[in-house]
Amino acid sequence: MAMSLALLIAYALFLLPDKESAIPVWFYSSISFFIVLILAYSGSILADREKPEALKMGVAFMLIAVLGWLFHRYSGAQWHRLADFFFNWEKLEGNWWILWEGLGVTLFLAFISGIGSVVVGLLIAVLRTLNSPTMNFFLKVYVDVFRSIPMIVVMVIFFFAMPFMGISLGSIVSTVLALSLGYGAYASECFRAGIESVHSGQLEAARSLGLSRWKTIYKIILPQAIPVVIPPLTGTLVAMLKDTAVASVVAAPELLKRARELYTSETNPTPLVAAALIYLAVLIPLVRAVNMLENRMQKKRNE
Amino acid sequence: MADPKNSETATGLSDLKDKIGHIPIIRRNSFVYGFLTVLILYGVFLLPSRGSSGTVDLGRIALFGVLLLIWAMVVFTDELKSEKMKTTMVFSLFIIAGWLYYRYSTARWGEMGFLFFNVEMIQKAWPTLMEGFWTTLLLAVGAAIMSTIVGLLLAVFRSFNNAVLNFFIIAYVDFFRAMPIIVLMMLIYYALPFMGISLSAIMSGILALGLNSSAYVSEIFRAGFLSVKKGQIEAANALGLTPIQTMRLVILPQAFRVVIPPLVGNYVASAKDTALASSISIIELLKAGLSQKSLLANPSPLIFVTALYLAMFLPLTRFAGYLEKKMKASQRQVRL
Amino acid sequence: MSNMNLPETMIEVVDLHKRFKDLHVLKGISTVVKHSEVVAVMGPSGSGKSTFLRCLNRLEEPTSGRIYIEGVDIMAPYIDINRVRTEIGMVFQSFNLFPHLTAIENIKLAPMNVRKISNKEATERGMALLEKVGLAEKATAYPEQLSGGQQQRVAIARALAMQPQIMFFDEPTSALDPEMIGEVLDVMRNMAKEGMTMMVVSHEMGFIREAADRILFLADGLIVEDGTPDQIFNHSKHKRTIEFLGKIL
Repeated sequence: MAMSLALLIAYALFLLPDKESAIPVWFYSSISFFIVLILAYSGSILADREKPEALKMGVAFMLIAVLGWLFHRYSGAQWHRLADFFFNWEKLEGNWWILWEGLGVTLFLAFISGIGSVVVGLLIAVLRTLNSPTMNFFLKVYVDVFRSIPMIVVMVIFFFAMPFMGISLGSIVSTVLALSLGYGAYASECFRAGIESVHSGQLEAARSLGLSRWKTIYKIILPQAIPVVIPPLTGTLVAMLKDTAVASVVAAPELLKRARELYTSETNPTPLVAAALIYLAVLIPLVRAVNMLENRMQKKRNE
Repeated sequence: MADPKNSETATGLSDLKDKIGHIPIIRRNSFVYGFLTVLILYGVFLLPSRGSSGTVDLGRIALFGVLLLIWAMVVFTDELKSEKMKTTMVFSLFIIAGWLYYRYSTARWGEMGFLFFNVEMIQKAWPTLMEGFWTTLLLAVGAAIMSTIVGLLLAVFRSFNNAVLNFFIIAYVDFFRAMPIIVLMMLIYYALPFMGISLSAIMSGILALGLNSSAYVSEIFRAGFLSVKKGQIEAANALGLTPIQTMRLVILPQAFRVVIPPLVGNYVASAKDTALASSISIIELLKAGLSQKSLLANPSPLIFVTALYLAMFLPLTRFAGYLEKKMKASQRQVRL
Repeated sequence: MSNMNLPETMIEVVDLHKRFKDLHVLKGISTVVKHSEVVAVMGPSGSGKSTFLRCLNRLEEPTSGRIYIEGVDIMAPYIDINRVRTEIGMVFQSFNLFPHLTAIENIKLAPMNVRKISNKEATERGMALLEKVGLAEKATAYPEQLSGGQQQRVAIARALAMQPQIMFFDEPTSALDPEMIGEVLDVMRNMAKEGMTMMVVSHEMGFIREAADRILFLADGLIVEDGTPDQIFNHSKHKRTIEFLGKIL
């Protein structure tokens, strides 16, 4: 162990290239090889059950430190410019309201499209329970088409191609329509999985009691399907919230678009960084929540 | 429709005896056809003429649409209507909706072919579109390779259950799962150069897609590792297998089955996300279509690109769905 | 059709056929079930017993044939089948209690939503039924908190809550642990004594011998024998019947 560590240090001291090496092949391959070695070394220690916990902690810190050092040394980043260009809050002074306005538009888009996609998804899923082959064919085509075309393409088509057909929607409406129809397709799959998770015996029992088809859906199937639907549906809606950023492509004045405008006018990327941080602040809790819901679901299923 | 008066005593079906052969009005075929006749008459006589746009006229068109939908629902919710009738109805609905659109939209119909399916324009745009296609492919493959390597490494190091590493790995995964890809692309392409890190557009695209995808890939692999029960590893140890043999012979084959379907789904999703790279001026498929649309002042290239996306991703999406379904089915069998 | 002296015909089936695509499951079944009669349906697996029962309240749509319940042709076009089903209680092999509702809510659901009776009345009626099946203290328990036998008894109470004229039992004890079969059969035996018209798909010989008036023996989608338990169990001439009884006895 100590031997390999000595070798690694020797490698780092003598074989790692200079910051600006003349031979790119040598430059990249020697660094990559070093990373592979360091990962293998720390991995072999961390995987060993006999090794004491303290050593493992040390190795973990070392690994992080070495990777950080490598990045610091070779990424070519000019670290002294970080404060000026990434966290230069002075540039945002008096301009924060623009970002907040953008966030408002983002949340508005997400809210309306969220309602839209749940309505579309539920409608499709319920219509599919009617079991009409013709209807199901068209519904399946709809779902497949919208799941196959990237959301940005749908938005672009609505915004740039529809006007040629005499339908001018504007950026906000294009976005809401694209997100609702597109994520409606995803939502319908969530609902469908939930409805299918209800045992067919439930349906038979309800019908044999004389409940009508709609009463059965409303009283028996949906109450049992909803808990199954919630985790994946939340995931879909969070993904949709993330995709509102794509609306900047069709000039919807949401957070990313506003941040880019500021970036251009200030010739400083701080607004972009600020926008990214706002996205993270909104989305990380949501992503965690979805994760938690899914884990709980998984546990329930395994019980 | 239970008869409330009958609820107290509920003595058999005597009430139904009188009702035999009595078909509720809305379930009768004559109702369906009568309604259709009314709709047609409405369409011929009451719909406003083309080009009018007063509130009353719009109301008339809207009322027509609502009536049409009511008619469709009446037929569709009837379990006893034949499938043939429903099929005919679906198609007639499409035709009527198309006709309504044709009649009232301001589109220039004579130019539709020229505008949207203009072979000549597509031929002109062809070289650029093909270049875009290869770029899309490059982005997708690059991101897939990068995310697999990084994701696998993250999952392996996560499985060591080291508190320090886990903190960083969880932060990494959360960060990239929460960050919209398009924001990440712009950060890398527009913001990083200010720090002296200048990457080409393609590299920025691959990096953004790969970083995003690697977060998901690591979670998929982790779920795969976790799906192998602890007893399996203990059993392998008891048999005297080395850790590497355990990995190769016991864990990987079992994890593989759980991992493949979501992994394929993730690659497909990531490949679809390559279209986002158009926002950092990478000439991939979408950008090629958009630029040719502007250049030729004709949306045909864009329509063609959409069709191409559909042709590429429809089979892939279906395939990913099929794999997932198959896995779920096999899991269900195991539990039984 | 033999004993014309018994008063009322409850169910009459005429030439019932059922096909699933290529599979011809029921190949022309005709029979009559009279008021208060308890009919056991037996036969090897795949003989179409369950399908037969499920066709009678059109949970499966029969391919052809006529079915009369209390003289009403339930195959007539646009008959309100939901109304017909309120007169036919059905008990399933896998209980099929609604897991999101408590025992009493399971029982109240149909009376309140189909018969439109008040919550108060439905609760009273439901509690009386739970009492009858010996589960009054489990009224607020959810299905997952009940044993299999208890679940099946709640399912019977649920079906009875609609005050049906007829009860169908589709292998009501096959999914139960042996020690729980008795409690369910006791409930069924009491119902038979009270004069309920019952059709029971089951292989519980003891119960059939004691409670059934008649046995329909099905094989390959046809009724091969129709007689009293004594005739079928002790004096059967039919090869398929003897073979089958030999296996399960």
